[in-house]
Amino acid sequence: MKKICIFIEHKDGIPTSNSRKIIFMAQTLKKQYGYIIIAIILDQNAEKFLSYLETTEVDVIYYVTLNARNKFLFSKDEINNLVNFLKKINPDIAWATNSSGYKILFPQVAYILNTGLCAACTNFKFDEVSGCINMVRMVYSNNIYAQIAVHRSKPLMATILDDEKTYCLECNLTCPEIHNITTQINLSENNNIKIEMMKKVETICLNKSKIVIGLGNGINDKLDLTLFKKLATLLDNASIGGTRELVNRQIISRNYQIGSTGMQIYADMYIAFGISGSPQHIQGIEHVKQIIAVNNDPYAAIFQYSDYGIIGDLFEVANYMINYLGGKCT
Amino acid sequence: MYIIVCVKQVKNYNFGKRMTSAFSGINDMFNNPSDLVALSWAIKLKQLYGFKVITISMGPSRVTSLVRQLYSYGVDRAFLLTSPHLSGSDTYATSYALGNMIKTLFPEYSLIICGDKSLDSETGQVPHSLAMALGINSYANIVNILHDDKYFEITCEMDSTWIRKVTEERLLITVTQAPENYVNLPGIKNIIDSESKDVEIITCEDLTISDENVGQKGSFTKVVSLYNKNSVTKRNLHSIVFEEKKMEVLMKTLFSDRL
Repeated sequence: MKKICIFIEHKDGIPTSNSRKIIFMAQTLKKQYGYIIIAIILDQNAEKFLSYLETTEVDVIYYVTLNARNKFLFSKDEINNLVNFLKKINPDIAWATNSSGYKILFPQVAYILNTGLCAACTNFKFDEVSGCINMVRMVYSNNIYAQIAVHRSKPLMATILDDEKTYCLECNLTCPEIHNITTQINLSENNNIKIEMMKKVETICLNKSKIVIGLGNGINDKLDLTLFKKLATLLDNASIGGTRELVNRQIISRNYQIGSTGMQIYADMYIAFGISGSPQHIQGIEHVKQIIAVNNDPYAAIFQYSDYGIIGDLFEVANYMINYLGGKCT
Repeated sequence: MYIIVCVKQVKNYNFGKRMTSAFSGINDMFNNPSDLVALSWAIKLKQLYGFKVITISMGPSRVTSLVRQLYSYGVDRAFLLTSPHLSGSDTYATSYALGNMIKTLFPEYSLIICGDKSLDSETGQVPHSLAMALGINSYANIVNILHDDKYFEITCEMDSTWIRKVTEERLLITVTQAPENYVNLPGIKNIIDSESKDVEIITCEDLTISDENVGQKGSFTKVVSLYNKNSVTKRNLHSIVFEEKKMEVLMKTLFSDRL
């Protein structure tokens, strides 16, 4: 029987949307090709997730309770233990979410396991000639789909990208086996490493917002953001994102970057203020239903990708919108 | 005491789309912007603590002129690993080759800085595989780096929490943002000097790399097929010049159902 290992995450006992996608893909593999699903949870409070997973269609669950340090660093011994554990299970496929933790851990594990890794995959395809699973991902600045095979090693390792769809998971009435492998992975407290938590940065979910305001290089400084925050409150608490230029100029934080190297958004409406429309940014907004672009350059590339274009000063337009919407609301 | 920065030369696949841009016609390759951010961190540390900055790149010999440009940012030595055997390397083969190069040529490095991901493949795996190849720890999303005589103190951002950590003597970091209030522009003197400096070319024969471990032979992944993406929603542009009357009509069409 072929085996698939899925490394999944949860928030308050419910799988993240990225994890839902992975569980759904694994269940499809099980249904069509008879794979055994092995769920692996590496988390600080992994037990919380177990009650949800018990009722989901997975065959075996392994969980590791992590300590605070593991959130951003796995020591070499721990990685070796994890690799040995994977060797013992000997899966054909290992998939993980595209979270910041697995983006670091998976390349390290793949290097020691001497196997191929496909990052940021969107889907899989069954190769009928070889009988193997190939991964599908976007390459060349999201212009082309590539089908990638891991041809002379096992397991096929991949991180899976999230998308806007909601996946319905299959329920299971026969309880899966549950094993605690915390001691096997041996998360020893390393005293040489001093960790100090500094501050919480607010979490944002640009990809789930209905209306997103995008800011570009037309913005002068941080003070201008107050104007757009005011507009955002009038637009049903819209989210504010921006381009790489603004991140580099440190006007907005990295988490707010929209584009191929930032975040993909799936909003109903996107209002782009002072954005020229570089291809990398356009890739981040191509799934938006309605794009409104404001720019004082009539030849700006963003207009080619917009539904409505307003040629004019972005501050004048923003002020007009605030007056219009503010007046209507009151 | 030196810092190694890995700089990738990437191809501009949106070249055809932007015929009006300054890039058109002459050169369709450039240094990965994220790696230049990594370079600005290295130059900042050079100015603060006196490290030597070395850049390493891997690619075909035609990128030599792009590697030479790096001298204008204040790099001390720029290396290019080039060999026909290396073409088609995947993450594993690339990190193996780069790891071998660092172990052989620069065994006494203090810090390796990489950009978070390249613009063409956008995987961001090579830095962390490279760290494994060298047997050091790697950290992502660095916000700040300090150095005392021996140790680096780094602050990194992970899932919306900032973590400060005192770490060991040598490590690998990836960066997404440039250092705060710091811009590293090429100096005029450096630009002139860079013309006369030579890129140091390294081939597989200079290192202990066997052909079996690199290139397509050494890669565990291979691209089976490529196919075009279905075109995204086509949009019909309705464009107006900002004017109160026209704006009012537009606002009514846009927001009438929301108000």
